[in-house]
Amino acid sequence: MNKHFVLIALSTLFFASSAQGAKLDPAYEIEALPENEEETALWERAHGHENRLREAGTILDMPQVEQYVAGLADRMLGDSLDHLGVELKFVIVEEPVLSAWAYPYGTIGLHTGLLVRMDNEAQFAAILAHELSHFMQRHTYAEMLDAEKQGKIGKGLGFLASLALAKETGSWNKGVMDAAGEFWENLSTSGYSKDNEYVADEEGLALMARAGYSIDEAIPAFEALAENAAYGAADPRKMWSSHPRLEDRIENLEKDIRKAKREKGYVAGEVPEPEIYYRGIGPALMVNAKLDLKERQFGRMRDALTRYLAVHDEDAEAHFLLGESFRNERPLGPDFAQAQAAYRAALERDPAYAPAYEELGMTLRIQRHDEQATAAFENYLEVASDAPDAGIIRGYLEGLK
Amino acid sequence: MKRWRIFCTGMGVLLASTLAMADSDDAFLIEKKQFKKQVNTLALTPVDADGYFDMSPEVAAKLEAEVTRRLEKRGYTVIPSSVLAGIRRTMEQQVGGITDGETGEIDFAKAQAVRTHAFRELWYQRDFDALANIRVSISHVPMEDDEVEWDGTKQDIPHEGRRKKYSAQVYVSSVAVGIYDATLKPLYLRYGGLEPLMFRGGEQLEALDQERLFQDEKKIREAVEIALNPF
Repeated sequence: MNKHFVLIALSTLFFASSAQGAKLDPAYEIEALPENEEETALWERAHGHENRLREAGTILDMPQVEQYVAGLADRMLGDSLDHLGVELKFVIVEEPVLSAWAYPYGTIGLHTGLLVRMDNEAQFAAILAHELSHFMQRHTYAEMLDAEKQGKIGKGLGFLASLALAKETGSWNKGVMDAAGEFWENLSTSGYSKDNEYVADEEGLALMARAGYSIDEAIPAFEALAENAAYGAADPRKMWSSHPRLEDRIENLEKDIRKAKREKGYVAGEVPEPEIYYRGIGPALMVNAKLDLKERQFGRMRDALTRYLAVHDEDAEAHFLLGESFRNERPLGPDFAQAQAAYRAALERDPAYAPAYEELGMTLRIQRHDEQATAAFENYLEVASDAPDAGIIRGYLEGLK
Repeated sequence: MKRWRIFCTGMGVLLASTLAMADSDDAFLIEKKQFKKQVNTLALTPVDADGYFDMSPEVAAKLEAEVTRRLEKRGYTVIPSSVLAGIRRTMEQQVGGITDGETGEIDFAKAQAVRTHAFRELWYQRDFDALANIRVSISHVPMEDDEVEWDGTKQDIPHEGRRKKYSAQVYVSSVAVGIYDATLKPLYLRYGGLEPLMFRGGEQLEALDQERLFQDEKKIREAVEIALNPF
């Protein structure tokens, strides 16, 4: 099959059925991007936003994860975009809310919260494919043209920065809105138009099928977004899962899957072993577990750590963090068995892992197991005598005598 | 005007988070019945304030006394903030101080260690059910005809000079009372409007000097009453 056939067929279907919205040639059908000065300006503005995120330190340096994601994108896209000379990039953002987005120049942003909630590579591929489709269909530019046509934004391009900023940082700072005004307000609550979202969903399935993934895995991938309910109702970081309504989107996706199997003859694809995925995104699992600790999402934290430990059982810090998830959930005890088991597991992997001695001592002290607490604190001071809290631990030891 | 510009710059970033909670109708973040069942004894943390304020010990003491009085009146046992403050002092000594002896700069690693251990030690030493935090915060609200309404109160903006009335956005202060369980899960949060932070000098809005803030005991009493009214 021609490498562009599926994508072209899907986009034709969409544009034939769509009565509204700017119609742009998708990236794989045109010779060069950006196509004109206006689109160039949009890209520049978006680059500015990405740079600000970098300066703010919210983008993580995770070459291993980026490389893994790039490999999946290659698998789905083949060489369909090679002629453009656009380098697809992937940025991992330290943020527990499940979200992803596409910059108009082909960089895909991924929250760690989204990465860790996908159960396998096929599920993650569903999300990635959706965002790649937004880029290929040039939806950001299309939305901007639509808004211009409706007189809501004029020539201002600030909406993109505002949109993306709201998505990643949760900031509602209107100071970065520029001329976006009302249009920004609309985008911040509704995101891309329903039509654009649905076309990205449908094209995403085509990309998944092309790479040999089971398209059925798109459903649990989207269902996982419902977990964003754990965050505040008005949290703008939830936008990805709220435009259009998640229930409508899943229903539409189910229809698309049935149609794809019936009309396009998609066969049952592959659901790779979860461990392959956990290995690929390993560092993100650890980072997000720490974020979940701050957010007091202890169950999620344990899920992430269990996945990480399935492929990195040797990691003392991961065992320690598992203990922390139990202790922080019930900081006064009285039962610290699970936390202490995890701390001891950490020390088995690394007998010099000071934080595990310390927390073992702290929990044993609460339980009035004075001798064991003393031993744990002494071990702590032996490996971390210069720790900032060493004096406090010595104070505890005095009290335990 | 210079004073006003400094005022705005210093506070801008604080507003969004404050406003997000200011209009909450439901101060109890768990079922009120559950709260009453779960919480009998509260430990106070030292009075806190947004960065703009130079909170004097006298004002902090007045706020704590008022919160304590009202909580005790409602049947709660209150552990004063001096207990936590004492634990902190001891721990600061144990780590050899939290400032660098030569430069005077704060050693953030030590300060963080003291903070974390002090809270845990308070839970270890005392038998209580929740931590209560009193915070004076800033928000930015509309003023109409020299009158401003926020966080359960309505007050006039003090003015000097011309009597013509104006409408604008002004900075105001509120007292927030937050209550948290041992996992730091918020159980209760409510703001009570305290007083405007600005006055009208003719047609200009200007920041009040710090020493003129929070001198009115009636306003302190009313703000705390609003913050604790749902009890």
